[in-house]
Amino acid sequence: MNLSSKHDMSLRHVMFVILATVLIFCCKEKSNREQSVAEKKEPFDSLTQVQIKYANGFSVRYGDGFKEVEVYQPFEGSDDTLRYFLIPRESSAVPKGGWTLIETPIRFMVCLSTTHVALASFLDAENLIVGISGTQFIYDEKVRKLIAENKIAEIGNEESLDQEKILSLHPDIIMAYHTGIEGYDQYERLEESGLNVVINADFMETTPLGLCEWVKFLAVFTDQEKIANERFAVVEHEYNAMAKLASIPLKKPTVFTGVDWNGTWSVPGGRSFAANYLKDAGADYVWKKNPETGKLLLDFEQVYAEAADADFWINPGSISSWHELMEWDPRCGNFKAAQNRNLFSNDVRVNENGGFDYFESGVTHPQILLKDLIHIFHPELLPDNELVYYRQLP
Amino acid sequence: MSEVGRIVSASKWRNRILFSSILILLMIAFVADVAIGSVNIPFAELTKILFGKTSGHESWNTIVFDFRLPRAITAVLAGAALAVSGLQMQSLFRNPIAGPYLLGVSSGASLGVALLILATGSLTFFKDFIGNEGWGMIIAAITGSSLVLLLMLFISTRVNDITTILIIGMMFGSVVSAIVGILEYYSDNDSLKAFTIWSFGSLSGVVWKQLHVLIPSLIIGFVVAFIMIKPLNLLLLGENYAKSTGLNLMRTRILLIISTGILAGGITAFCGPIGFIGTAVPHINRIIFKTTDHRLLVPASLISGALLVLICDIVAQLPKDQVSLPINAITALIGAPIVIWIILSRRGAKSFF
Amino acid sequence: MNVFDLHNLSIGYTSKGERKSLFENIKLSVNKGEFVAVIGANGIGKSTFLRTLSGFQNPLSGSVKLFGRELLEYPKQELALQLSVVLTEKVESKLIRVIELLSIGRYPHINWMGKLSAHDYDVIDEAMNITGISLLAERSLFQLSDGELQKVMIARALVQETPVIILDEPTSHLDLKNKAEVLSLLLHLCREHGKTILVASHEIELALQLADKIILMGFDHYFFSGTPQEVISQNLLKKLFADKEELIRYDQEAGKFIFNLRNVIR
Repeated sequence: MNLSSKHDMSLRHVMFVILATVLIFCCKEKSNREQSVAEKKEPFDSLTQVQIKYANGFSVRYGDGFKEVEVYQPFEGSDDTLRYFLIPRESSAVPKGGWTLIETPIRFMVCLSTTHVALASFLDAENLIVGISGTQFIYDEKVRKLIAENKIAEIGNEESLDQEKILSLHPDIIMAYHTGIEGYDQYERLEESGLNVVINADFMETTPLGLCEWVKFLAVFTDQEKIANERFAVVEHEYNAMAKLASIPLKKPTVFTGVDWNGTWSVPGGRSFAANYLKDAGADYVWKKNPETGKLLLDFEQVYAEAADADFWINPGSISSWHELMEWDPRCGNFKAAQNRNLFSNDVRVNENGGFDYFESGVTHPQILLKDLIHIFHPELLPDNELVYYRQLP
Repeated sequence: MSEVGRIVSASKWRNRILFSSILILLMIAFVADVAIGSVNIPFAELTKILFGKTSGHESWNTIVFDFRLPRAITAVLAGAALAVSGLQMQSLFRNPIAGPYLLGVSSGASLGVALLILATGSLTFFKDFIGNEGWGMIIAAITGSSLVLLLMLFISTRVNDITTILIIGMMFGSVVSAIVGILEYYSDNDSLKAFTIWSFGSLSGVVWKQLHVLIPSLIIGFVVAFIMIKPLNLLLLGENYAKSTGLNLMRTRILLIISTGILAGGITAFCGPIGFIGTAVPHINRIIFKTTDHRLLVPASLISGALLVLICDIVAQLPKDQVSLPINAITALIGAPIVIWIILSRRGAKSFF
Repeated sequence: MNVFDLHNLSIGYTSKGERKSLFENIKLSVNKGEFVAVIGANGIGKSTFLRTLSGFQNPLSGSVKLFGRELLEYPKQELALQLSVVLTEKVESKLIRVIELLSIGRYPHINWMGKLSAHDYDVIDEAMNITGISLLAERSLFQLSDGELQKVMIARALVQETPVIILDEPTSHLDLKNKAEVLSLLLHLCREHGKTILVASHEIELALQLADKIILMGFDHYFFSGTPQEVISQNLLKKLFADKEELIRYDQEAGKFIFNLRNVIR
């Protein structure tokens, strides 16, 4: 899987020869997409190509009759890169070694994460889904309907995927994610049975727009670049406008998240996804100076020492009221945010089985989420806004 | 005074000094445990707070009273309870590797907590608080360990041979652990993480409200343990000699099991399983005090167990900018070398009792 | 009042629900101050008999009365004040020191706290003197020889201050000198301290010389209780042997066992 770029040169030439031969001898219609090749910087055609601005986890390169998609660092601590070579179904191009061949546009897709479902729904491509892991957690109306009509099957959960079921669905790809846990991922077996596994690393993004931009990732596989570009542009525009608005007030309220478990508290690092959201919403995250992009494990005492006077407390675990918080650990009542009842949680949109829409449409509508947060921290900026994902805990 | 009386008095003196020393060390360790933490509180301020006056810094008051004091007290209770119940188990079963969890107390508690966290599973767990979540875990743990203990009590009234009872207890523990393993296997990440965190054991999760329940329960357990001092000494002779000297074997077994259940089960319920202390401390005491007499060993285990756990808790908090180390790891890291050193420095005696 | 009254006593055990009786319809009494020796081959049932008399085992049928009261009715604590034992099994604890072990012997006499008074220590002192183990007070059990251990266990029974002491083969591991010392000590306890003592022993020749009463348990469920003279004059010792052809016989004159050389040389 790990080709060094040195090899790219000569192989590319070989590829070209093959392509040319194919075109001459098969008289196939030329793909009306690509213009030029490899080293030359191509002008960006927003009708047929995506450009990645925020996401760090993947990149797309367009070539003559093919697309190259790379996924970087599928999980924390990994230095793997996964490479996918996408060609039209009629084409008989052959990928270089280490690249997985995927034929586009994909017709049937299995998703291992509800987030992937949200990406598809954003592009109105939910009909492509034939299997989901965790159908009971889906919030999206359109997808729920398909599930109810048996057009989407349940394929089991992480540790015990129903391989036979998956095979019977004949998916073009299985969109999955690496956990990085030894022996946990079952993708090798799926690949051995001839299925195409496409690793999605969206959860590694540390910015809301970066995460949302993964709709373009999916669009590359479904040949929906145009739609993805149009719709993402709307999201991007509104998100940035909101962030700019929120940066105006000089006074920023302080905020922290999480809750203690037996005296240990897991807080997001200063450069993590959560921290960036809070920053964009015009709040001062208590640990904003911390350089971590992941989570920090701290003693309750440490958290208390730093966040005792914070103004807001977001997402205190799965607590749903102040009362519950006191039962969970009475020491939580010492926080000023708890005393002032400034507790907010993102559990408004939750389905009957505990599926959070926060992880579905929340991923593809960061601008709405951001408005929620701005409304919480700077209510005067968005007086007419109503909270969508968040609510104040009673 | 008789010759014998004189000999007894002499060793009494030595033991009194030893006992007092450990007591003093215990008090020092307690203060040290309260003084140490991730926030730097000057010692002068600390003493001020401890003696009732409040410091200027509001958060310091809260930290000392709501975080450090309960933690130190829990450490003392855990050490005392586990050491005493470990001693009881070792003497009841005449087995040097016996400990407070011998009869499946810890496995039972794990099963209770596992059923609560893992079986309710997945995201529903986050939404599905059965009333009071903080108490939920404790009640689950107590229920689990009580059920296993009741089963063991029942068995011990039916089976005569103490070694048979021991093996049955171990098998129970294995079965229960297997069930917990299955639950772990089928649960999702978040539940698994919650359960794993519980099973690391923690002294810092106990709050005052819980101590109001834990302390009285443990006192009952300790009282029974003290009442059992004579029977435990009688058991040193073996069951037949003990019976001929007036021991009611069945009643003794039952009371010892109940006492262990309360002491070990109570601590496990509130703190999660904490290993090593119950097995190691009795041996340390037997060798330091040079005695098999439970009149000395029971109170000695109480205070030296408390001391050892306090020391471990202090060590666990030494890494300053990180979260504290899990208590279980420290008890093993500190305890094991101590026991090895002590055992190797014995002379002559091949037996542990 | 007799110390022991056995009436219609059957002793044995139940195995898999079946009653196996070793001896039936035992009727005998033991008087205060008697030194009773119980003799018989290995496995014949001496231990069972003693266990039945000391409350460790239930009789299959019949009654055992201790000081006029049914043995089984005694609460454990009270029985411990009347009867103490010395068993064949070893004490479990090896680290325990002699002084500690003897202190435990006082437990039926002290309260639940286990604190010994000056009087208790006097009793212990006396017991150690009688058994000659005064110098061993601070030794741990693992440091004692078999003979010393035996004396310690007897001292423990003494410390318990009971009118009756039952011993199961207390001399089996001892050399001849120690055997003699222990047996004569027991006799001394009967004569000078008024104790009633039952001993199971293989030292037939010594027992015949010292005991007031012999209980002989032989093959084919043969049970006899009477004086040593009766045992000898009625030639009852041959009941100890299973085979008809005697390998050894008891010579009355010589007062000892002698090989029948005819049967030896084959």
